[in-house]
Amino acid sequence: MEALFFNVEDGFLEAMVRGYKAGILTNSNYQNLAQCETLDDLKLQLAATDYGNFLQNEPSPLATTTIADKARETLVSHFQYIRANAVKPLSTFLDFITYSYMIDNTILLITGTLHERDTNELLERCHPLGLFDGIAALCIATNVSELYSTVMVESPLAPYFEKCLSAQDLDEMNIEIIRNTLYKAYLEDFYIYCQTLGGPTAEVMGEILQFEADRRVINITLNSLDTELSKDDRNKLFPTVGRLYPEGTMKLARADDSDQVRLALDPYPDYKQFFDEPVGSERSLEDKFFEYEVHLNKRSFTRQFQYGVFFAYLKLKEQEIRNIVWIAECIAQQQKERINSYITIF
Amino acid sequence: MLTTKPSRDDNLIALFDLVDSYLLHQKALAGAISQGSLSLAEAKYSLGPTSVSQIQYDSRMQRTRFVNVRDTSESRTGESVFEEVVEQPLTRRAADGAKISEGDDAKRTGAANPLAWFAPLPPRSLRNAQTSFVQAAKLAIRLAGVARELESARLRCADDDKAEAEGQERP
Repeated sequence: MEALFFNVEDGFLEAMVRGYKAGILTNSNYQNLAQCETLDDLKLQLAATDYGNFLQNEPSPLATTTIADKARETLVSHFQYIRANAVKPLSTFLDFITYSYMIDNTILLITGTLHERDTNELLERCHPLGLFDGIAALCIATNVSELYSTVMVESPLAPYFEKCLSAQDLDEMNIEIIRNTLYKAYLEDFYIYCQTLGGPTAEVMGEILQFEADRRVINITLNSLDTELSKDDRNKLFPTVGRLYPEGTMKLARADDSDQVRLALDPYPDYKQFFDEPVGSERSLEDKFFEYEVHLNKRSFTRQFQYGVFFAYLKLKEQEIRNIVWIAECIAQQQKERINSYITIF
Repeated sequence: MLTTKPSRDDNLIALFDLVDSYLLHQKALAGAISQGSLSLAEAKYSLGPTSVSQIQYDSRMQRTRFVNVRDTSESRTGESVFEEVVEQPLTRRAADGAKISEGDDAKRTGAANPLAWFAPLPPRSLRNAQTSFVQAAKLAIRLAGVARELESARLRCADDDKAEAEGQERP
């Protein structure tokens, strides 16, 4: 049925995003970039792509952070154009996408305030897609309940923040727990919303968000080994919308080392393969997660009349920016041996 | 027991050994720094470039390692003049001698593990970067010690050359 009515309100924007997708760098573009000797050469090569002269006003010598920031500006302008022209329910869907950046910005400001950093400096480093009214006031609050009552209660993250009100003092570990608790609540809410939309959107986004949830479970488990995070706290951070829930998450919550993590993932062939590393391989677990994410996002473009293409375009573009920054770092450090460790998209 | 003064040849051999040691330490230091920088780039790849940047620095940061410079007259041959000391929070005491609690002190002064500034649950690449840079700091200290010994050896060789030249001038 969506084939009958989708294009009435969302057809133009789907066409726009498919056009943007055609501009994503290909394998031959990456090979040209990898052959550059300096960052100025890289800038010239990128000028021949859809990025155009996005670095023309930046003074030499270029920094890799400058390249990342300007590339992100291009992505943000695409997203904001689509958002400005969207109506419900697509506009709600796009708003959901921005909530993850709001969480990152909130945590950046809270952590920066804890570290006594300058407020203006912190606001400049916030992701443009994650800005909301009153965000600057986050620098004033000193504990979680004040944070909620003065700022977060009127922000889109308010429903997710209610689950964090039990945290006590703001230190690095508690802030990380708040970040993961917020993200868990957001992911579950986004998943439920996509399922209410139904149709191909629910199928495409369901698969993508389930993988995101499972990835977070595995990363939280592995990164919390040998830290002060208790197993109970670890379990509370696991999203419940992934395929690993509940048996896999129960085993992972109790894992003490990476071998036990591997054993817990044995019943899941899709995730077990990530731990089957051939001898001499330099690809890390994160690389394999990114590869699988790219595979799911590319696949979403094979179906029409669904909102997954908007989410997938954003994620594929972010992967492209990661690739460009990685190549730029290898060029800047003159370490060309690992320069081809990027993930080709098309 | 009679101690014999090292001969000119012994001093020259010691000088060349120190040059070799200096070059090896320099190479190891460069390797540690480049490995650490690459691991940092890997961390930026997985966490995002804004997650691993100067904006995460704690402005209250305090040093956790310092270098003791030993008096050269007390150091034995082969022993480094520079000694790295890692400050242990538990051993710190307030001015009045009262023991400072580890957790409170670390939180107040920002002397906790700096890895927590970037990611309290750090990925492997960030931990590897920290290990590499800590190793680089140790190598830099050792390199400074070797450089100092090298300079002393060079001066001894210069003295030997001068003494030999003076001996040749006297009939």
